Amino acid sequence: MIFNSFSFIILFPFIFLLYYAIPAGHGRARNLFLLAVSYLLYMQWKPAHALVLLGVTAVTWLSALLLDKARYPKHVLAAGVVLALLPLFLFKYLGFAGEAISQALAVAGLQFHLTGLNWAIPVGISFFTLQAMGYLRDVYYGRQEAERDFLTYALFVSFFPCILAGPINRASLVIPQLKRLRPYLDYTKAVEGLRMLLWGMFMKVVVADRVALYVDTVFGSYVNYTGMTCLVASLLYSVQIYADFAGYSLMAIGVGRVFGIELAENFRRPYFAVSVTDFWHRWHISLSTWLRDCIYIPLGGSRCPRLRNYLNILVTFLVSGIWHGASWTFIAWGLLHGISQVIEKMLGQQKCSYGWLGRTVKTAVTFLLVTFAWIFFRMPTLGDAFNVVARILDTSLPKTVYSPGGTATLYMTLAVGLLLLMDSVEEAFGEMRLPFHCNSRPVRWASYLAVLVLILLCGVFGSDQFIYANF
Amino acid sequence: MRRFIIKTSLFLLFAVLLDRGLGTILSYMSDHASGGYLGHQNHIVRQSVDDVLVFGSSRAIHHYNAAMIGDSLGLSCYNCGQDGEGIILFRAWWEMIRRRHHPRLVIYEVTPAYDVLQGDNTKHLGWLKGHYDDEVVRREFDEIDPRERYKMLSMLYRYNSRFHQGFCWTTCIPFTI
Repeated sequence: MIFNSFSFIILFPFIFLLYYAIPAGHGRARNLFLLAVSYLLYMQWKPAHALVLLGVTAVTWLSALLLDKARYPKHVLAAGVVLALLPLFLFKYLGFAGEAISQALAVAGLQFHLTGLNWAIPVGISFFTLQAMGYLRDVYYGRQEAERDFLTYALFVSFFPCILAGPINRASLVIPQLKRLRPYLDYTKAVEGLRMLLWGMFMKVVVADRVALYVDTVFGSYVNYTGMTCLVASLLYSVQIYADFAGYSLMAIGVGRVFGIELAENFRRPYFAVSVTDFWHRWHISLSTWLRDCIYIPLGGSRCPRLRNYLNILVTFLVSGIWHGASWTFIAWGLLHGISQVIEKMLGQQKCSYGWLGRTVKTAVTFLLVTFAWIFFRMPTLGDAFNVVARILDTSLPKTVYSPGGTATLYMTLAVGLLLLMDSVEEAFGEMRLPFHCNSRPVRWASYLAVLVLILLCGVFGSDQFIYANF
Repeated sequence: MRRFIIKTSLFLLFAVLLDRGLGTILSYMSDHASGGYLGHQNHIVRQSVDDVLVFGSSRAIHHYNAAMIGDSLGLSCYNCGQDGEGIILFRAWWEMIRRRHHPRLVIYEVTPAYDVLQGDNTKHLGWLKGHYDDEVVRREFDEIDPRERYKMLSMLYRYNSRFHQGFCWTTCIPFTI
């Protein structure tokens, strides 16, 4: 369920009250309730898709149990991974693979046609599949005990706050929390959860969806706009995707905390990164951790000859690109990130040791590099992405910027400015200096109310979809 | 739990009070806006006594010259067109106008995307939110999206994305088109 939907706002208090109506001593009943809620909410999209979720859950749960007893655990792991990946491949990549094969065969004059199932893709499949596979890998390497209780494991895979767009949690973080008795209500955690929900909502409806109105207008028909306008739209898209995805993650973590469950951190002010490598330590942290543990390290990581290490980085980010979508644009986006990191490694520029001025320059360069890569992420085809880049670089086009009018510009500036201010304060002084964490209660409450008023007055309520829910 | 419930309820109470207080101010400002889109809307639903009214989207507002139509016909004419809007907004306006005045002629510029084809009707309710207390508007909301009635409990939400116009036009320049 989408957090900024009207249905969620109505349902959430009921889920909360029913959950806390179950005494703390009945931990299993509480988990059962959360599992039922997770599946019911998931089935809202398409009831049949719950079977895919259940299938991936059952396959990885059984495989993990068999790993303990199997004579050849590697074979069990391979079978488990292939079976868990099968729905993801069928729904997400079959069409793309079929298209690539048919294009290759067409060169030789052969005809081949394979229809994909992208039209029926279950929501969140990339996220829950990766989470389940991460668990299987942890069990294989002895970092996590195989979970014998199916209910606990099923809840770990399907927990409703993170099923749609992550964070991709480690079993070692969530399963122990589900197994032990949680306190009836952890007041501090619940309050922090509500704060995150509020700020996440602000990021989504006030910033991301507002900026989207400009970005979608420009990129929807970029041939009608100047290079400067395309540049502004590209910069704003960086803001949009950050506010959208980080806002979603914040809400997911917040909802988890309200139920007393800690979820993985996903964002740490990524646009303050001093290199692309640093960017990936701050952006979609749960995915980059998964890629590091499941792709990069098994390939040899950095403990291998230099050239091999560069290849490992490229392969890891190629997989990241493919994971985001079955399209050449995502592959190009992943490779751009991989190549940038290889160059940084060659030049020894992964960290910053130049003082504040050098840091500022490196942060700005990183932001521009990441923004350049986002163009490939955003545009529907490689041709469109190259056309947008060409327009930005074309000096013969008029140096004017499209302005959507006073109103839209006013709301957009207000929203982006406030987000930038908050992130800057947090980056420079830590989150305890933010008004939400002020020691003075009136200041704290006034800041909550101010954000709520801004959401009601400046939020865009027409857009119900999160960008990352498409993956 | 008790502490959490008490504090959450207290917060909600403050939020409701703030919503009502600020919402009443915005409602006053919006009702008294003399220009901008709000002034345009206020004029149409409360003051217009013109013989000819032009309705429609941007194609109406930018392509029909009310002065020229008025001169040619020897009648007074007002262009009620609104960018990106269609029959949903204009039906409500028409009902509100009709209660106090019957124009002699209505020109309606049809834009298929807004007037005929299926689409997201809720997005066309935006300009009507400020007039939600009017029976006609409330009926329109109920027909299009019954959930909107719950959202309209918030006074601030009624001025979503439009509140600045109330500030700007409460005391400013008389509005002409």
